[in-house]
Amino acid sequence: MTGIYVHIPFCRKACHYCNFHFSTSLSRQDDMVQAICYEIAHRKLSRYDPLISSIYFGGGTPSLLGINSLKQILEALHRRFSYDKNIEITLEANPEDLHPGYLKNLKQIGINRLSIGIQSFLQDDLIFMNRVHNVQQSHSSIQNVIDVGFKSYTIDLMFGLINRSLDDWKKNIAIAMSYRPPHISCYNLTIEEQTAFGRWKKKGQLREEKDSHQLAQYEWTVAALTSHGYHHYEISNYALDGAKAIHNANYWQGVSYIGFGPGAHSYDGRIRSWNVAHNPHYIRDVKNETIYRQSEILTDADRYNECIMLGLRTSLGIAKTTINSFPKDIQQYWKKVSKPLLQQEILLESKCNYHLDPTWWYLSDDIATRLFY
Amino acid sequence: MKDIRNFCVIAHIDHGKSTLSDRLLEETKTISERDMKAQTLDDMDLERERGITIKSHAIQLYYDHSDGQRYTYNLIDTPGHVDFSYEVSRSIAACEGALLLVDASQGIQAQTISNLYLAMEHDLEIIPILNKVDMESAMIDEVSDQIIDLIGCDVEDIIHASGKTGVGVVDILEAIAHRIPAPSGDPEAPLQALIFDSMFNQFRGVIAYFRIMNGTIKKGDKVRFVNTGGEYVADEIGVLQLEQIPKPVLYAGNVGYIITGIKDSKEVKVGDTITLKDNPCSVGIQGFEDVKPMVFAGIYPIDNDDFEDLRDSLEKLQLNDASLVFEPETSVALGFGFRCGFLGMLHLEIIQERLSREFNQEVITTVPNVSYVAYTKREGSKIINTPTDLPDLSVLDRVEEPYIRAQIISKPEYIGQIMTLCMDKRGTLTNQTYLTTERVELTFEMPLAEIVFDFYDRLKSISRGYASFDYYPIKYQASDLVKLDIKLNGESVDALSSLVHRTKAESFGRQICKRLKQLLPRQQFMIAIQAAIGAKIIARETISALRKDVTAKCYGGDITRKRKLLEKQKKGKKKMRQIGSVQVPQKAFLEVLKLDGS
Ligand SMILES: Nc1nc2c(ncn2[C@@H]2O[C@H](COP(=O)(O)OP(=O)(O)OP(=O)(O)O)[C@@H](O)[C@H]2O)c(=O)[nH]1
Ligand code: SF4
Ligand SMILES: [Mg+2]
Repeated sequence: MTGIYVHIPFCRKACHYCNFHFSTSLSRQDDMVQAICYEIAHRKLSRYDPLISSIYFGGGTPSLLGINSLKQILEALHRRFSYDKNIEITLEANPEDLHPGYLKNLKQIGINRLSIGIQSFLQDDLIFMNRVHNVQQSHSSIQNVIDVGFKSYTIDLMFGLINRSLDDWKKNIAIAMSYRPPHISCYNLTIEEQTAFGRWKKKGQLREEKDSHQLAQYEWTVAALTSHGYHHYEISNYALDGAKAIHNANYWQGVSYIGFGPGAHSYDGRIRSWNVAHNPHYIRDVKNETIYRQSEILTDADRYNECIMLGLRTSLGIAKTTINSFPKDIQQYWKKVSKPLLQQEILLESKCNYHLDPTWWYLSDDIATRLFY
Repeated sequence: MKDIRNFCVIAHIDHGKSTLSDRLLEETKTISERDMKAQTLDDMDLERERGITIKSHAIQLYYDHSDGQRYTYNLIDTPGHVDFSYEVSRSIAACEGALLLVDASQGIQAQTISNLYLAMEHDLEIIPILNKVDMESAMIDEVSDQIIDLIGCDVEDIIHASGKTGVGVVDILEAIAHRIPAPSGDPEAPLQALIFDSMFNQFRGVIAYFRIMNGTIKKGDKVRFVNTGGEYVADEIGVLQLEQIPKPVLYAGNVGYIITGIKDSKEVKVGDTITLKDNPCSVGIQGFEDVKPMVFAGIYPIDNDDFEDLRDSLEKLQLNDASLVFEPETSVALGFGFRCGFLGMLHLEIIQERLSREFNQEVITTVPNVSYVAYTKREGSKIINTPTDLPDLSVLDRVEEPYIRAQIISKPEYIGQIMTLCMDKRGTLTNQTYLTTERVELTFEMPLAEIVFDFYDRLKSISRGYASFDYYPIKYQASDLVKLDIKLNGESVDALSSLVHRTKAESFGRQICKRLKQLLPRQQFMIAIQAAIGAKIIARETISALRKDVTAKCYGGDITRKRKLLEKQKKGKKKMRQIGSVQVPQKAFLEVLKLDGS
């Protein structure tokens, strides 16, 4: 099966932490939707399984699109692909957009899961992050989603913010728990270079929170959410029974995916390709695949490295069958490098897989580099 | 032989030797315009990147002289940095003359003088050249006076030149034939050829560069190396142009190369004499004095399995750099490696770089030190090239350290700061001479250990680049030295220990700890760094444990980016060495000494 990602590259304003591809100039929305529909209809996709398990509208801010635009894209998709009967169709949405009317329409055109960019229930945090919405909208958006009858949704929260105490974070989680969302993502703030925070950090105007504080907030989150019955299945993701995100979990298991829209990535199990991350160029060149898309073939070592890197941050870990599917020299290499980690009981072995205990997930990049080929 | 001239280009660092050589190559059409680049003879990547010459480079040119004759010029461009003066002295042995360059904006500097003396000791004919006359800051009259004072020539003897504009290049080419004597020597006598340099070529084996003093060599001759006694066939001989040009025969007076198929670097020694097996010369030419290393450091493979490969690489490198010496040693922290002697810190850095680039050998270099002599109460003296060899205090009578005489040339306005610096380095002023009103020469006696590490950089910075210095060893003298140990998580790391003067031990220890704190990456547990003299801890720092090394988000597009990032990090970690429980980066051992203002 294959997952589909559609990138909607527009936002009302730039959040200070965000390095995704988007533009705040909204004038060419229609051209963009036409271009994406063109790509969906015409791109060569012979190497992908046409049966679709998930569709994910990400961004940017997909909820900025009018219902007709979303409908057009969904229709284009449906014309080209066949859907699995349990297909998950997620739309990333910002709280300010989630009015009851809009939500009803979303439901009607087939969106069956929402990912709501709450980020925080504290007004100071929202201002600090330069979010568009306010705390009232954080609350009302969730309430509306519930009222309109979406069974499946997730909320994003962010911790490790600068000068915020563990207590502030606890408050956030407590409020979130009052809604008991089926799924919740808690992201540790990462300061990326090409962002406002990144620039301030470079100039010395902003100092990252001590990593021991960040870790404390993480560890508290893990304990709190697990005690509320959530499965902690990836470093930043928690789900109630049966509510794991199909689309995102597929990324971590090396399932193939097709990305449409500027900056979107695709992967067919061997070749990774990516569309130009530039709105006008994408619109201009979408009729010529050799111009707007670049690709690279992943070697066995590349695929092994990805499987390590992703597996170490999930509860599923690294499947033994996956390791055994690599050529002999890579399997040998794995044996050699995993041995000390197994001896130190950092890496744990169970019947079908290898995995890290969640307390080690926080050092998983460091550990991954020790296992890389 | 009448039409051959052998000469080298010598000067203080950066006075424009390689650039002027470019112009000579250009004017004689030795090199096509297409192949021309700045400092063509600096053909090592490392030389090009750093903009300095590291190796002497010999090249042959033909010059059609205004006297109607065509001359063969063998030019050797030499390095100016004090660490590579051994290259200069070997080049000089192959020449009858030298172009002595002086930068007109800088004037006479310390290595101008030392290289000049080297050339005069070998009776070379000196052609003084006032270089870079195109510069606005050129001080033509003043520097001319300095040159006249220094070598006792007439003002007309000095050629004004610029490697930038090409002024004076023809004058130089004309003067070479007229002023430098043709080589003497008897082509009919038994062969005597001095090996002055060599290199290793992966496909062809050892290539030796020689200067024929007497006799004649033909391709296919059976030759003998006088000192090693080895006998070979001259598979190929030739002259050194931009490429090696094979020749059937070479006569006395010429400079050339020989390939005999030798693969083992130990069989060729710079300074040896080549002769013919069937008609040998009675004595070899007097070779070169053994180099005296100034600094010693351990060189260890990152992976212990690479020990033998490292030996092989060092041997090959030694062919091309006769000033490198080494012998095996072991370290508790690092396993098997080599104690190597270097002429200075730049030399050490260059060797480490060349091992990495030319031999793909990533190595760890331990904290460098000079060579001491320890006197024990019973057993007499012992040479100490590594701090761990220091005998136990209970049997130790005293330790002596090497002293040097440093000659510093500067503008008078910097005397104050230079004095302060040298006093701080335990130096004593022994002489002060005004060379002109604007140039003063200060002579100090100082411990070598104080000048090898950061002295030159500091001297340059306090004098805004106007001071230069040269030094040579004079004596050993007893000193109150203590062994400073560095401990990581309680374990002594021999590769980081050093011998320091007691009065400086504490501040030095503190700084090393601080520096290590910056150099060691955070790890999954806390790291305690301590400096100790015997059992007494004199300084400490801690590095808190790494708590977080993960990115929060990893979805479709992030995956490639992140994999590539981690792959890069992995490469970095490969260059680390596990010591006890601590990962230490390759560069930490050297960097730790780059203390700011010790
Ligand atoms: N203006 C001017 N600059 C020059 C001249 N000759 C050399 N330079 C510059 O001086 C610097 C050093 O030149 P090099 O030719 O590398 O000097 P060098 O003496 O070979 O240096 P080492 O071999 O490292 O001792 C370079 O930046 C040159 O561009 C000249 O005649 N005029
Ligand atoms: S976080 Fe979301 S809304 Fe904010 S700038 Fe990034 S993509 Fe746009
Ligand atoms: Mg040079």
